[in-house]
Amino acid sequence: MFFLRNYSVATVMALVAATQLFVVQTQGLVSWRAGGFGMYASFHPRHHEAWVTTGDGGEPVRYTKYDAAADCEVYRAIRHCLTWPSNLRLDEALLGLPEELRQATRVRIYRLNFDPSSGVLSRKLLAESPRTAPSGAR
Amino acid sequence: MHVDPSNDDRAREDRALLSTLLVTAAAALCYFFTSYRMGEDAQTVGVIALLSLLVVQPRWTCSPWPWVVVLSSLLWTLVGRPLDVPNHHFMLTYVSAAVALSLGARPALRAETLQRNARWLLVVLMGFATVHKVVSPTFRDGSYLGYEIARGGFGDPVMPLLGSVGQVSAENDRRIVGFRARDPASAESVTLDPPVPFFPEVAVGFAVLILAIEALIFAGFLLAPRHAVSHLLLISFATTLAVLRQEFTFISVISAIGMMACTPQQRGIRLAYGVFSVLCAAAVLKTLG
Repeated sequence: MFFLRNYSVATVMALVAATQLFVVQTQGLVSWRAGGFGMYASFHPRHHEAWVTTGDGGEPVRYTKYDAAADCEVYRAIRHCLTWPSNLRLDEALLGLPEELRQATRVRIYRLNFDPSSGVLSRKLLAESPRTAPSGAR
Repeated sequence: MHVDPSNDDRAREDRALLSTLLVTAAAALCYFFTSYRMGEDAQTVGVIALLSLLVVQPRWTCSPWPWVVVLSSLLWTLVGRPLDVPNHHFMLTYVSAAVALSLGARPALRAETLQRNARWLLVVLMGFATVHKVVSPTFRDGSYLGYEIARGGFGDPVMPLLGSVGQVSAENDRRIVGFRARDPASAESVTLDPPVPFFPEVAVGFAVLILAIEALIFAGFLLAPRHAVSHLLLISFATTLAVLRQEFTFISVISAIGMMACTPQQRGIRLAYGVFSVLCAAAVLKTLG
């Protein structure tokens, strides 16, 4: 009972934190989420962008995590991939779309990338579906 | 000079601590439900009922049961939106569980159990926060903090006082908005102006400073949890965070945990934490309009 009252909560918290750290380092989860111990350790999910093209020759549309106007079927399906971007998760998310829409949809997820020495702000591709670049491009 | 408080004083201070924690929990829950539109009406009624405990029967806050209700509500949000829940929500969940367990202990052991739980929550929080930053390349090379500094993401309240720094940041922010609106295929990059001299060094220096402060708080609560210096470090950290970045819910939560970690003799420090925590909770509720 002494351990339960005094140390059990901190023990559970340490286990959650260790798991989150492992998933962040190996699976691409954003360090701000699912435990949140990595607040300010890396770019916030609001700095992630999903660029979605539907149909041949369609203009790509950008969706971000806190995009109030983003309420389309594709965005609803891929929203969680902005917080935990990976090719596999993106493929799985798109499987939830109707076949015709899925075939016509191309999604690329980027995060911002900044070099303080040169002042250049660019984007880094985190995941895409269907893939055009080798998977090692991540 | 320390003066041992009487039993009545201790009971009153325990109620003050638990009331502060309840206010913090209520503010965090309100903020989350409003932000994510999760059953707002029912939840608002629940939160008001929770706060009314403080007015109707303050001693009920010393029962584990209201804390079980808070814990259940927090767990419900964690399960409902696991990838949206912010870190202070996780912290409040641990705090609620710790308080519920501590209040189930014999009255003579409650204060010590609360302190012990708070100490280890702070150790785990600051320890893992430090490790995350050490292993993150975008933190170590100053690129994330540099980006935030360049766009004026830190120090909103003081930015207008900084003259040209504020102007450069505002111009950078405009360029970022324009860049992010363009398709990556047509806009590969944009160049931001350095808002301060020696900008790359400032970004890395800031990263090192944050790491050092978090590591010191971790070491303080690990090795000397009752020492005033550990608490001063935590209060300074919370105050600086309030100026640099208005993370009021998080600040309210860590101040409440700091309050929980104080010994009954540290009445001044406890009061400082409590006032700061409630003020930050009020700031959270104010943002909801």
